[in-house]
Amino acid sequence: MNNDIVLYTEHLTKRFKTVTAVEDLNLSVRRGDIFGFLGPNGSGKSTTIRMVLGLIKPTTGEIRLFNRSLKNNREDLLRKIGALVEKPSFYNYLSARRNLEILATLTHRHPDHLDIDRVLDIVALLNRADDKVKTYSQGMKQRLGVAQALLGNPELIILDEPTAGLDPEGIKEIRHLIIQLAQQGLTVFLSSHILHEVEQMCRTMAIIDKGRLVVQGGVKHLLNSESDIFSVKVDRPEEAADLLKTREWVESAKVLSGTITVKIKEQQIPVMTELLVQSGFHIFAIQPRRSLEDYFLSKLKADYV
Amino acid sequence: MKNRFRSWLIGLSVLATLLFQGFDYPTKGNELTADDILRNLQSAFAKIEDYTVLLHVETDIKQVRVPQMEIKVFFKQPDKLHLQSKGFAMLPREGMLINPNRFRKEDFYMSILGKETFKDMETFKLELVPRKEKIKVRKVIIWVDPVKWISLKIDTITWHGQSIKIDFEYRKFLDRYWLPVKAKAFVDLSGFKGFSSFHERSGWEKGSGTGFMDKKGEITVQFYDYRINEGIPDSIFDQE
Amino acid sequence: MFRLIRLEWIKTFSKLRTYIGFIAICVVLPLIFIGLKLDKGRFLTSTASYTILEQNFYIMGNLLNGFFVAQLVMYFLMVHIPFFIALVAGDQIAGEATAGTLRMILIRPPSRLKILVAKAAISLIYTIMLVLCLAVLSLGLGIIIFGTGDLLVREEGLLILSKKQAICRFLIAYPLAMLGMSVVAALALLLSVLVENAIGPIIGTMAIVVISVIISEMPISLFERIRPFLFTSYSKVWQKAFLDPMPLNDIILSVIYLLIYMVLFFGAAFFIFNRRDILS
Repeated sequence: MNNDIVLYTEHLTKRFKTVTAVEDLNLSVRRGDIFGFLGPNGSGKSTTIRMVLGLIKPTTGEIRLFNRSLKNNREDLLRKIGALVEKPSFYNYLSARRNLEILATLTHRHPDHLDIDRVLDIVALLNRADDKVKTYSQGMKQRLGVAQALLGNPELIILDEPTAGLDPEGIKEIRHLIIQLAQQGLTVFLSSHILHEVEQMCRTMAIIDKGRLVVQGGVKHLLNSESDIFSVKVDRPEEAADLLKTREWVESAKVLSGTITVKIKEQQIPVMTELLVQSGFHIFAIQPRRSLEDYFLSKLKADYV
Repeated sequence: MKNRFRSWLIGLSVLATLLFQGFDYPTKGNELTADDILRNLQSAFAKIEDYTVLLHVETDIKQVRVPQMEIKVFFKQPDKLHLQSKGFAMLPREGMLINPNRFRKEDFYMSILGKETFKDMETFKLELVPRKEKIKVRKVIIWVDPVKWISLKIDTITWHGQSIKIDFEYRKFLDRYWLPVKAKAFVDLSGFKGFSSFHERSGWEKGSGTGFMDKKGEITVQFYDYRINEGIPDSIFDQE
Repeated sequence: MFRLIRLEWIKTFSKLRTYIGFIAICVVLPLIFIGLKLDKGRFLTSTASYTILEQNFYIMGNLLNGFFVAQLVMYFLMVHIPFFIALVAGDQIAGEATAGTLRMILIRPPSRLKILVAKAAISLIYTIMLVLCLAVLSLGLGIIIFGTGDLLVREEGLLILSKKQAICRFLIAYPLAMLGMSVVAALALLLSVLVENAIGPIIGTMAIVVISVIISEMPISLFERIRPFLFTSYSKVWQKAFLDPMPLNDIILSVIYLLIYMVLFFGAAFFIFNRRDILS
């Protein structure tokens, strides 16, 4: 296996009694990458992350980290990983520094106080380090959550919804921080349901829905590789959409807010234009929608399109 | 020779008179009343003005397990009593520390139950029944030695049905005073339940049972180091 | 392992709830002792048995002494102390699960087994400290207020132990009490592993303890059959240390049963915790 792969899952499956949370998931994350793990709420992102971190035992499948099986090398491998799983939680009755000392001691025998100061500095909490966590705002706790993930210079950090619950300023700070970390050579596994976040920060991504992998690859490549989505503004959009649906070169057509969202190959645009004009529709605008959001919606094949 | 015989006869008469009058015990031949017997007991005891004695007490009652006890007793006529013990100690209240002065005529009905041979000796069996309920005992029976006028055995029954029967062994001290050196009390503490607020089912109890018999047993008291009529300050008896 | 125990120590002893037991003992004991002192031992001398004894015997010596009151408050071990233990031991896993910190520590290298061993160790240390606090305070304060003397044992019948005997028996009784209470800690930890809310293990432990104590104490023949299977039948083994003669075989047997219960509870906790998915 390629030594550049830091996280690899093979046929990873988790079943909770009758519910399959994750099914046959194959992921691979390259060293130095910012990997976006995208999916709607309840798609299985957190379950996957918890399996990767050993919080949940897979029903079947394998997890390999740094080319070694997690099952047999848990202690060694977790030492190389920093993680923030969902909402960061701390011992509120202790100071931030004390919390980090505890978590650092769990990772390394002797906590490096310089390291604690370093991570506190990164997340701009050094001046509040000795205050009890219960006095912190949600944004500060989130930053402290990132700080604890950075303890001990991990090679891979896994961040599960790191901007959840933050105000716009906080979100901006965390995103900036993640990009900075990646620039320093860290591999970042970023789970999010915010498409824009992944589009902005990640180089590669995987989309998961209902526990299954939908697609995985480079963000730019994926956005350009498949059928495109266009917004078509016409009079009588419902009729126009019904007409378009009858054509085999149209993958889908649906009216959203008075505009038809059409999924067709780019080269079919003139054909579509001709058809609509000949059928007596007035075309006001045809706009490409190549954002990740559209791609995501198209890939989920849900009722979005 | 005649004079000699006369003077011997007179001497004998004087001696006999002295003998009979010297002992201050009222006798009407064999017709002693309970009152007389008690008075004889009291008179004999009255010779002891005060005493201290050390008691070594051992109990052998299954349901009453206490360590060996050492008690120092201070007594002064007519009824001053003070007991001292470093640790916990218990001593039968009735009979063990003989004081016939306690049995006052106004407090007890007295009667002679007859004569009874006890330890090869014919004794008077005296029954005392309290006139008032405030007196803690229901009945006391005393076996009285008619020669030394000492109590050889005392049986006490309380209002709640517990009984204590005490046998005494005496010795003569300073050639005059008969005082007990050993007492063996047969105790029946029926009705006594102990200080547990709930039943315990310990192995110890399973083995021994908690029946009626377990509350019967013996208390042996040895009296030693008597100090008689050496004078005891009254302040001793004021102590709690 | 010691660093993990140290961490658990920091966490446990930084929480206010850890001190509730100590505070309760430090407040309640002096109150009880002052009450007993003001009562001048009437609660003892007014009992029917004392009356019977007193009618028949001269009673000497200080029965209401430090040893007696210390033995009296050991009955706290039946319900009160287990509550405080449940409060701390029951919070070890469930409390962290509720707070969300459990996942923060379980994504670190130490295995679940090591973490649970550290938590079990701290639960036991707390239990020992609590019983020790009860011992030191009740004996110390008891002796200061009531002095020393022979020990009247709360037993059927009359049992008095000499001062020396009493000290020896306390030295045996307290470790036995610690062992009995350790089983409560083990039970609380097991329940703590089973549920994900902090109140559940406390209520669960107390419910089990109270019901077991009732079954252990009620003289109902139906319960006789159940009794041997209840740990509360053995956790009061400390009471046997005050018997005379001391039933050594019974004590050893109870100790063995308690150790078995402890191994079972801790074992089950380890088994469940190791397999459990952390979803909180």
